[in-house]
Amino acid sequence: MARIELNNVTVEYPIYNARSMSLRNRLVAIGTGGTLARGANKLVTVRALENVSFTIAEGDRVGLVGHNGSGKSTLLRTLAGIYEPTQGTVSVVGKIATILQLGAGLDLELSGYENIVRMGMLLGATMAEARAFIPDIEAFTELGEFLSVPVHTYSAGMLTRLTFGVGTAIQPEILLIDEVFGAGDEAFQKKASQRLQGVVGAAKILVLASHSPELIRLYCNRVFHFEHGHLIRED
Amino acid sequence: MSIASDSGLIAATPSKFYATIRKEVTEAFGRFYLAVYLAWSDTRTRYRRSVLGPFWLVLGTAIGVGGLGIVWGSLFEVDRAVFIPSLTVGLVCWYLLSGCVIESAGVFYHNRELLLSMPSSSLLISIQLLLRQVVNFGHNFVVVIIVLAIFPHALNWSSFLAIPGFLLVCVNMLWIIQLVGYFGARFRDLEPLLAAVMQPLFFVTPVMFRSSQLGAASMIVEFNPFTYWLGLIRDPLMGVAPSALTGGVSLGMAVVGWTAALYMTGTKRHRLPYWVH
Repeated sequence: MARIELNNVTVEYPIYNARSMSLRNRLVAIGTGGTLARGANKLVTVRALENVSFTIAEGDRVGLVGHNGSGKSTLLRTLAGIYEPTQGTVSVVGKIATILQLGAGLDLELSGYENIVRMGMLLGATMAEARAFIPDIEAFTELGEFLSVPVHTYSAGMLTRLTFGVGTAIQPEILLIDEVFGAGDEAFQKKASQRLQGVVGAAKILVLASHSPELIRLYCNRVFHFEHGHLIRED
Repeated sequence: MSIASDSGLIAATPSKFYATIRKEVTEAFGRFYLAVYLAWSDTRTRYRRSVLGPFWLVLGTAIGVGGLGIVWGSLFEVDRAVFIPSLTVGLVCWYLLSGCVIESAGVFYHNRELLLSMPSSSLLISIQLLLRQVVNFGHNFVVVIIVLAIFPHALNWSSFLAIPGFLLVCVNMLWIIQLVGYFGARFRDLEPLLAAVMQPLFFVTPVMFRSSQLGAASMIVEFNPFTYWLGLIRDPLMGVAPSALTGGVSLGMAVVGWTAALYMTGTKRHRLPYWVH
């Protein structure tokens, strides 16, 4: 049973500037009692999410909507277990796959085929499992001969196809996606939609952050509106 | 997969601390094959970029050994049959040690995409760097084999001690990568700093000379941990079992270093994504 439950989750993180990331500045600050290199020690903390609570059950396709910096990406990373909440509890039951950054885990020098195996393994598959994805991803991406050439020759749309294909091939119970659809033509959007419906149709969870109202309408049955780290309403 | 965290601030509570370490270590060992695969695919990429691949590195090593062997050999008027094998093994080991140390500072920053896009074990990322350095070492070792085939006089049964010696060096390199990796993620100027420090350190590490040649000044190499790590591999290949001091210091450093590295991992792992962001 896939399930996500957040209880009063707050995520705060420090913002490091160039000065505070310098060991030299830190040492100067210690050596001079902190008067010379003032500011090296002061950290700005950002509260990216504040008191967020919700429950997502199987079959839910959740769209996250909000301005830049409203906390959508932070929420996705928190759900994925990349960020830890400073307060509150996050409980996630189910195998997760993430498509948070286009091309994360890709080796641009390797071919499409090799990257399928590489990314599949990074996402948790064994090598045999990752190899078994190939026919399915071949059919989905329609990249044909391009799968045999290095990925650095791909266009953004082709990269989207490949990343998306692998992310959905591992049959995750929970799929977290951040804005990667932008690239990709209309035919791809249609195929991606079908594939996602397949994934979600198997009674799993989708959480999608996007600025595009059409995409949200197309994929999601619940919409969370975020503003300054608060979940302000759901519809 | 289940991720649940206790309520309250995540500042290091003991249970949290151990849970983090356990998760990091079990994932690193449980998915060791992933590190092997990535190191292998990385090596293959390097072969693809140029026919000789990493053997360009070997060519560099061979030229270095040849040049230094001739010049220093005549300068010091030493026995070439002793000096050249010792220099070769020393140099190849030094490349392994300094490669690990210099690249350790950037290990997490260079894998930031991974750290920010999927839950991953930082220890596994460190293992990956170690394996890449070991692959380089394996390539360079070809030069050692050739040189030892020409000057095999010193080889004997104790030479096999180089294998456990090498493993102990790897154990030590891994804690360095893990610990320095965390510092390097937090302080970005550590990487150029280390690169600058390793150069002079080379000259106070007995690669081109033996500690015994220094006489009273040998203190400078005795306080240098690299002397002992070098000795673990080089002494056996020169036909001498490493001294108890060499083994003891290396083991001691492994224990102290791993304690520090695991403490760092347990307390700072949750900060790592923000540091490399």
